[in-house]
Amino acid sequence: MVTTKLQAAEARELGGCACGAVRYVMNATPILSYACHCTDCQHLTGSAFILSAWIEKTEVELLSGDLTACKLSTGEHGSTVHFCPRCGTSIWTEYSPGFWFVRLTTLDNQTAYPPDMHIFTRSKQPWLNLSDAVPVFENYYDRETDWPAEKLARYRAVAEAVAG
Amino acid sequence: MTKSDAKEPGGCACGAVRYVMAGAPITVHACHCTDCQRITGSAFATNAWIEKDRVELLSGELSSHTLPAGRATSTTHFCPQCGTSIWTEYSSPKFWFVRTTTLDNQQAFSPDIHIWTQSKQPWLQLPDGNPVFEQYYRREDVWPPDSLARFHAAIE
Repeated sequence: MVTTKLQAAEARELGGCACGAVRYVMNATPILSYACHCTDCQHLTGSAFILSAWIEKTEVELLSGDLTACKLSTGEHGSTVHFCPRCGTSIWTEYSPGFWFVRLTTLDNQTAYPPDMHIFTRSKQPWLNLSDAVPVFENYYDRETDWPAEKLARYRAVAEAVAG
Repeated sequence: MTKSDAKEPGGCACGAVRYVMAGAPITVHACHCTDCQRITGSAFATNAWIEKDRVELLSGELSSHTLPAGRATSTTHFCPQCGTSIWTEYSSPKFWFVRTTTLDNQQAFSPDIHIWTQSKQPWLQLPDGNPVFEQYYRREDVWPPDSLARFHAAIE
């Protein structure tokens, strides 16, 4: 437990929206960081992909400002995107209960977490070159085989608690 | 620069905002500045620089917010229901910078020029063959004559 808390303190990253109204803190490293190239993420971002940090909700704290939530049909079970109503910056999305998917470039340290993988590259922008430094999946992947054990353990701890 | 006079419809993620862009943009930027990274939630914004009179809002309403951008300002317009940013006004009131991936045809226009790569995500590889600027550039040095002509026609 002591080790975990130390790691969390070292990983403390502040972030917020473009106008400064919304501020938050992420108290641990993400379970997974990824670039999603699906058409919905391209639409929402105004870019070629989204950069997201998959993290336990308990590791993220809103420090100031209010977020507007919008339910969308995107994702396997729908999703709810949360954004600053003043400047429109989206901060995080819920795709599955118990987790936030935090927009990585809303962190003050915008290069803190490069993507661990690229997903849904079947709809990738054709002009974009991806390096082969990290795994690239045309669609999605199999968490059981494609995630290392420690990521799976963090995921299961929350997913099983949410499932009750 | 893509040659096309086709009307390209687009909109926000929730469907409340719909618009149409008539013809190809003057140029397309991939902007890697820190503000664009924050607003998009991505490594850059892909913006189509186009005359405002070629863009028409068909449905929905947009909220706007102005931020300082260097010595000028940028005003981003977004759907108040879902937060999707649709377009931004930078230094001139004559142009919109439309987010190209809010077009229904998300691959209609690829970036012509990469700007502000001094803050580029380190892991990102840029394609060969497109001009890349650590900061900004002089239009006269980079744009083809037809883009310059459109720019001057719009501001005069």
